[in-house]
Amino acid sequence: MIEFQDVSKIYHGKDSETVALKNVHLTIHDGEIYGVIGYSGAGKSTLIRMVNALETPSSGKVIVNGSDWSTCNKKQLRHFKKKIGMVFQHFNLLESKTVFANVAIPLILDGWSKDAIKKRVTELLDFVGLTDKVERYPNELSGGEKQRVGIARAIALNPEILLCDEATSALDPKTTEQILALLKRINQEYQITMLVITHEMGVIQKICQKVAVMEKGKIIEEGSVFDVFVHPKHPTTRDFVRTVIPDGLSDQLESFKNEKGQILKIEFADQTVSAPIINQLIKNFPVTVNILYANMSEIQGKRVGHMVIQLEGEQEAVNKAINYMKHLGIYLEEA
Amino acid sequence: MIQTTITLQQFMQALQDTLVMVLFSLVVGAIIGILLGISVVVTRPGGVLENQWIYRVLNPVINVIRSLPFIILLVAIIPFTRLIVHTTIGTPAAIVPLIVFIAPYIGRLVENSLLEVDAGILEAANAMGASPWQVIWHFLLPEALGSLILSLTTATIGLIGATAMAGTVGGGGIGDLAISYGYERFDTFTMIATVVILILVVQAVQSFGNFLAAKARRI
Repeated sequence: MIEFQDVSKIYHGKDSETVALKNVHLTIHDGEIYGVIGYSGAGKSTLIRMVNALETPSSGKVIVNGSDWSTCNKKQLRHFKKKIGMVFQHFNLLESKTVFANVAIPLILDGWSKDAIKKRVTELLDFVGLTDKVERYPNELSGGEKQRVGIARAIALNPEILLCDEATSALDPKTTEQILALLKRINQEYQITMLVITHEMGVIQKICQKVAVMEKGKIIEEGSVFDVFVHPKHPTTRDFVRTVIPDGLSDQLESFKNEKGQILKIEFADQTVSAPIINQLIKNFPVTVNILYANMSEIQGKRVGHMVIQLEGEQEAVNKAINYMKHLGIYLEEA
Repeated sequence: MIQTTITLQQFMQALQDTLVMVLFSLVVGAIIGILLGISVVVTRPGGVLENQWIYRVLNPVINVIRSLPFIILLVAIIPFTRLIVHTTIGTPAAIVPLIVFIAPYIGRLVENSLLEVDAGILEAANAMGASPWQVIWHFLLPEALGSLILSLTTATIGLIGATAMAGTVGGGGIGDLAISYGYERFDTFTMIATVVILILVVQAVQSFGNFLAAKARRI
């Protein structure tokens, strides 16, 4: 479990102060894949680096698996860091060493015997699917392969926590998918707790169970990925959600507004998602339903539908139709 | 018919003197210089063994020695040379100032090479819980190896240049031959021969350094 208790971080420049984190409270439970999303400069890099003591809080506490590392001496701190793996955006591999040697590094630092290292590295390279690249050097590998090496290295010492710092941000979409699948497999097979930092909502959608949205050093929204994706509250969160789930015609909507009828944004989730709503509207009320936009997405294995419709008819009938939908538990918004 | 005032034996002796001076001062200077360079890098603010006192002492010391042209250093530290080798003339008397000259030079070059190592790699080392010595041995030095070899190549060529002034204290060598025979006795043949041999040696050293660096960098 990782707990941030009222954590702030202020960087002191020559004649300026930069607040990187402001009163952050966050709890990440064992076995979770927790995503933190935000634009550059939101403070997410500082946040993730506090888990493995690469950054120190200016105030507040970071408790990792029950212990506060700020009370550790240097030796204890090195021991503590070995229980946390880290995957980097730019891989940070040793260019002068082979794939084998790169994956072996944490084991060498930990004082393993040669035989034990060979056995463990072979096992890891097999797990990440790089058995045929053992003796290659990083500059002979593709981005995806480099990140596999980075991941193998990060999990070499069977860490309890894996930190992923923009692990897929330097990769193309297809490779991103593969790396995310690998991370998910690691989480499932080894029950490793993961903290994933990203600026891509797709990453959160694909592997995270929980998400926190950061802006200007603060956590502006958090919760289960499903809740945050379906009912984003903060405008920034909405912007992020829209990058993976378009909620309809933001730009073109204006042009419809002059026409007759009421334009509604509708969102179906949970039990309403498979109900034949439109059909019932037409049958039960004297209104014309014009579908301007419709989309269905899958989040955490559940479906979410977004639709923009135009209701035409007597005002009373339109109001009744709206009330009917609200009664069914459909979330709607007048555009 | 070639007219010259030196014998082949003198020429070979000079070549040998240069070789001895360069090799000896290179080996000792490189050991001191590499240690200096590593010390400056790891003790600087933000380094893995940050220590502002060591850094604030080493940095100016390197600068002060580096400020002096070799010919001046050579005569300025004569008392020190006497203390170390109990003489102030001959090849050993030239080697002491050569070491004093080249060690801080190598120190700076090593510092530059080590500072080129990607900060991300050092962050990865930190995240892995590497001790300061492990960071130096397993991350800094292997990643900087190609660049370090090129630095030592540059230092070697600088040393060959500096040995030309060793004649001032009777150190001998190719440079001394060029000055005292080629220049002062108007022996054109000796002058040309020494210039050619210096060019060839420097070319060979540079090519060998490039070859080793390329191997280390795996290009």
